[in-house]
Amino acid sequence: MIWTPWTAIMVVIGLFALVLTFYTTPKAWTVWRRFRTASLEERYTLEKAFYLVSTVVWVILIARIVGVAIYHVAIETLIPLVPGAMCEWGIHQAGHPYSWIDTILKLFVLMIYGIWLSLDMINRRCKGAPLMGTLAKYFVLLIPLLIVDSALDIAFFFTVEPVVVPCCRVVFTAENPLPCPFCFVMHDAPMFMVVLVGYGIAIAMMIWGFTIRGYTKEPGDLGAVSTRFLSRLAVVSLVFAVIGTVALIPALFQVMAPYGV
Amino acid sequence: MGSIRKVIPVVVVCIVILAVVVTAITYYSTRASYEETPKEAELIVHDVKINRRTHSLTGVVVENNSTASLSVAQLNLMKVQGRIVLCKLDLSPPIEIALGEVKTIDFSCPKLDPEGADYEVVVITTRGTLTSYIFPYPFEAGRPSQ
Repeated sequence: MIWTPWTAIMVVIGLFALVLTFYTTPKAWTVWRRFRTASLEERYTLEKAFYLVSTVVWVILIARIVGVAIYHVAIETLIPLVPGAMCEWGIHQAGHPYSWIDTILKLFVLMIYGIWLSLDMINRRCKGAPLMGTLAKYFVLLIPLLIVDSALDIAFFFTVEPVVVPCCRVVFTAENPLPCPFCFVMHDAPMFMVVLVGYGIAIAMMIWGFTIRGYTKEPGDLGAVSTRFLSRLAVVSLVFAVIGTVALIPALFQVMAPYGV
Repeated sequence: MGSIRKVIPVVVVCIVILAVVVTAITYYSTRASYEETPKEAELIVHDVKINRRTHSLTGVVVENNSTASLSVAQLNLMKVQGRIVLCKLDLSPPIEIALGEVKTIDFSCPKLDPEGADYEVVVITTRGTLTSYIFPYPFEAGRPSQ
């Protein structure tokens, strides 16, 4: 492993997520299994337990989501330390096979974790925590993903050694019709990072919205809160799409307009 | 409010699809501009001059092997992995290279990536033909090039 401040942060976030996940799992499991059949008194106890679960899960999921950005920063810091690596592709070669699986997984985690966070925000705004059982169940279902996500980070950064690696020039030669995605986005046209983040969040919010939509038809508090939340989510999603589009203009100029002499 | 909820996802999807199409068209139209240009076999790029301290290209060494003089009208520096033109120099008036002459043309481009990449210098003549030269910077097979 090559220790840099950023790889150290990634390892700490990974270990932190694993420990908290193992701590929360039995509590979430208890809430999920007992929620439907609980008496009023027992339900109160489960609600108290669930609030602890909810708070800890927020910490875990937010850490994992922030970890997506830190993950790429950590990889960038490794480039000068791995001989032959010219971009993230080279570091991925050094961390093969964990690196590729981890990066592909990172493309989807925001969408998946965000569903749980959105539902919990609705649950916190409703009287009587109507989604408590559902959220506990969803968290238990998320556990394999959380473990794989965190474990892959640790495995990847522990695998990277300062050995000579082939970089993107092996695949993305002058004859290849596609550019190296890492070179293109991270080095040549960095405004595309803003475009990708803007559109990525917009699409993720749409997916959260599709999950929430089913609850808008529920009677009472849950339906009203879900409807309001869905409307806000739609507007914020549009705002991020606009941010992505505004950033697209200078990004395209980075592709089109070379440095004139 | 209900209609806004239904319309916004459609708008967002349309924006994203449009952005992908515009980006692809822009990228491939920029890149394709050299692929259709005929090659100039008689003009050879021998070397490039690089200032390693500032990570910048400073010049291009070209030789004319044809039976007549050639004039260079434009120089471009492309990054092979990104296929993006990093620097462009329009020579006005064009620089003439006499028969058998080796000439260094000043071409300043401060955009070489210190982390490493392959670059292609594209030399375009007044005849509308081109010649190119690919060089790595700063690494060669995992070691710093000399």
